[in-house]
Amino acid sequence: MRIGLRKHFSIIALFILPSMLIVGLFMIYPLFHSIYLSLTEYNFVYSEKPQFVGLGNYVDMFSDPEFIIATKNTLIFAVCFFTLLMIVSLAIALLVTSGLRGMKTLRTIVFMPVIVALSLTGVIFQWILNERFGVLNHVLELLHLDVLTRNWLGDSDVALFSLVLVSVWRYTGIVMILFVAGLQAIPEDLYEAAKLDGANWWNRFVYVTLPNLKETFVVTGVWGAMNSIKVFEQPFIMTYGGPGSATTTLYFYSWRNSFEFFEMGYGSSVAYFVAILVLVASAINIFILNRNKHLA
Amino acid sequence: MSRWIFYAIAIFTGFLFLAPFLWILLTSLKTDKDIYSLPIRIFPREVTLEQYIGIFQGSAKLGIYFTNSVVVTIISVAAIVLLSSMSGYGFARYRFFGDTLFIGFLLLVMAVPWAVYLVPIYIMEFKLHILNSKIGLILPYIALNLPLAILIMRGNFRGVSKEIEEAALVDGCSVMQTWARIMMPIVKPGLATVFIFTSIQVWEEFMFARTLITDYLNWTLPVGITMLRNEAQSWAFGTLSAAIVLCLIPLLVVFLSAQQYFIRGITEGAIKG
Repeated sequence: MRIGLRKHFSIIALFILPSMLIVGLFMIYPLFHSIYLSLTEYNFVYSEKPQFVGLGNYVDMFSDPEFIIATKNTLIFAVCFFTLLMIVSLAIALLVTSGLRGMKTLRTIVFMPVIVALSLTGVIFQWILNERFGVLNHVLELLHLDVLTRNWLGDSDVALFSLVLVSVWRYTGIVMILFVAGLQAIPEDLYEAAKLDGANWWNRFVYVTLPNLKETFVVTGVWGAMNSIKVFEQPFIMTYGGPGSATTTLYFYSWRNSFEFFEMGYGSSVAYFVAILVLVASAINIFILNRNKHLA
Repeated sequence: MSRWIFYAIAIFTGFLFLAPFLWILLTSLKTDKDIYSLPIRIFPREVTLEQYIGIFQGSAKLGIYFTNSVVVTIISVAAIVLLSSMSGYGFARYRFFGDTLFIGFLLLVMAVPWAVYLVPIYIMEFKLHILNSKIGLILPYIALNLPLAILIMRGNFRGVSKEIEEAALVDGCSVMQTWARIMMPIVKPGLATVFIFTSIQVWEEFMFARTLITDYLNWTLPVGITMLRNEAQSWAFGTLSAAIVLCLIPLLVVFLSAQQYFIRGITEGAIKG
C-alpha cells in the first residue's frame, strides 16, 4: 500500500512541507491564538496587550443585549433560510430530473446565481429591493399587488426575511445540484417495483425517494447549516446590520466587534460561539438522519 | 394536462432566477434619466452605452481593482493547485510521522468558520507589516483553501493503481519525475476541480479582503464595487450596474463553456468536505 519511504525522505519533505508550513502558520497557529484571545480582553487600539479574563467574555456575551438580538436574528434567519433552501432546491431538483424537455437549461439557469460573488449579489439586490426605484415593488404594482409592496430592506419587520430570500436565490443552485446527483443515483427499478405495488406518486416520493436521499441530506444539511449560520456578506452589504439591529447576525456582530470597535477579545469569543452553533447544528443534522437509518 | 403545469412552473422558476441578471443588464443600458424616472420603466427608452463609457472615463479605479483581483487570484490559485497536488500525492502514497494528525487538523480547520482566523491573522500581518499588501491576502487565501484542495487531490491520487508508479520507479524515474510526468496527467479531473472551485472562492472572497486591505488602491474587485456603491449613495446605479455586468461576463462565459467541471467541483467538494 505504501511505497518505500526511506530513500525518498527528502522528496517527501519537499512535497509536504510547504503546505504544512502555510497551513500551520495561517490556520493552525491562528486557531490557537484566537482561542487564547477569546479568553482575554483586548482592544487592538487602546490595550497594551491582551488581559486574561478567563471565561469572562462568554459570560458578558449573555448580558449583552446586542448579542442576544444577534443570536435571535441568526436563529430566525437560519431556520427560515435552511427550510426554504431545502424545499426549493429539492423541488427544483425533482423537476430537473423529471425528464421534461429543457431541464438542462433550467438547471443551468438556477445554478447561475452561484457564480455571482455574494457581495455583488448584495449590491444587485439592494437595487432591486429599493423602496422607490426598485423593480420588485414596481412589478408588484403592475400586477395590482400593491398591498405587498414594502420597504424591503428598511422595514425592520421584513428586512431579515429579505436577506433570506436573496440567500435562497444565491444558494439554491448548489444544493439543487447535490440533490440532482443524489436523485440520479436512485435505481429506476425501485420506482418500478413501487408502481407495481400500486404506489402513487406521493407514496413513491416518501417511501422510495426520501429514504434513498439520506446521504445527500447529510451533505446538504451540514452545508446548509454552515451557510445558514455563518452569515456575513448579506447583512454587511445590504443593510449593515440595520435598520437598528434587525439584520445583525452573530457572524456580522463578531466582525464589528473585532474590526469596528477593535475589541478583538470579545469579537473572538463571539466568533467561537458561532463555531459552536455550527457544530451543534451539524451534529443534530447527522444525528437525526442516522437515527432514522436504523428504523428504515 | 399536468405536464403543462410543470412546464409553467419550470418557466416561472427559470424566470425568477434569471430576472436579477436581466434587470442589471437592462439598467446598465439605460440613461440616468431612465433609471431614476418614476414610475419605473423596465425597458430603456433608448439603449445607450454611456454607463459603460462612464466607468472608464470616471474613476480609473475600477481597472485597478480588477487588476488587483486578477493578480491575487492567479497567484493564489496557482499556488494552491501546485501545493495541493504535491501534498496530496505525498499523503496518498507515503506514511510518515504525524501524517494522520495533520490530516485530522485539515478536517478540523475546515470545520471552523473563517472569521475565527481573521483576528490572529490581522494581528500577525500588522506586526509583520504585510497588512494591506497583495501577499498579505494571497498567503491566507492559500492557507484557507489548501485543506479542501489537499483532501480532494489526495482522494484522486489514492484512486490511481500503484502499478504505474512502481513501474516508473523501477525504471529509474525519480519521485519528482514520476509525480510530474505520470501521475499529474492522470489526475487532471481533480486538478480541474480544485482549479475551478478555488478560483471562484478566491475571486469572490469578501471578508478577508475588506479587513486586510486598508488602502483603497489595493482593494480587490468585490470590495471596490461595494465601496463605489457607498460613495455614490443612491444615484450612480447606472455606473454600478455596468461595472457589475463587466464583472459577471467573464465568469459567465467561463461557466457556460465548462459547466460540467463546475458541477463536478461542487459535488466532489461537498462530499469530500
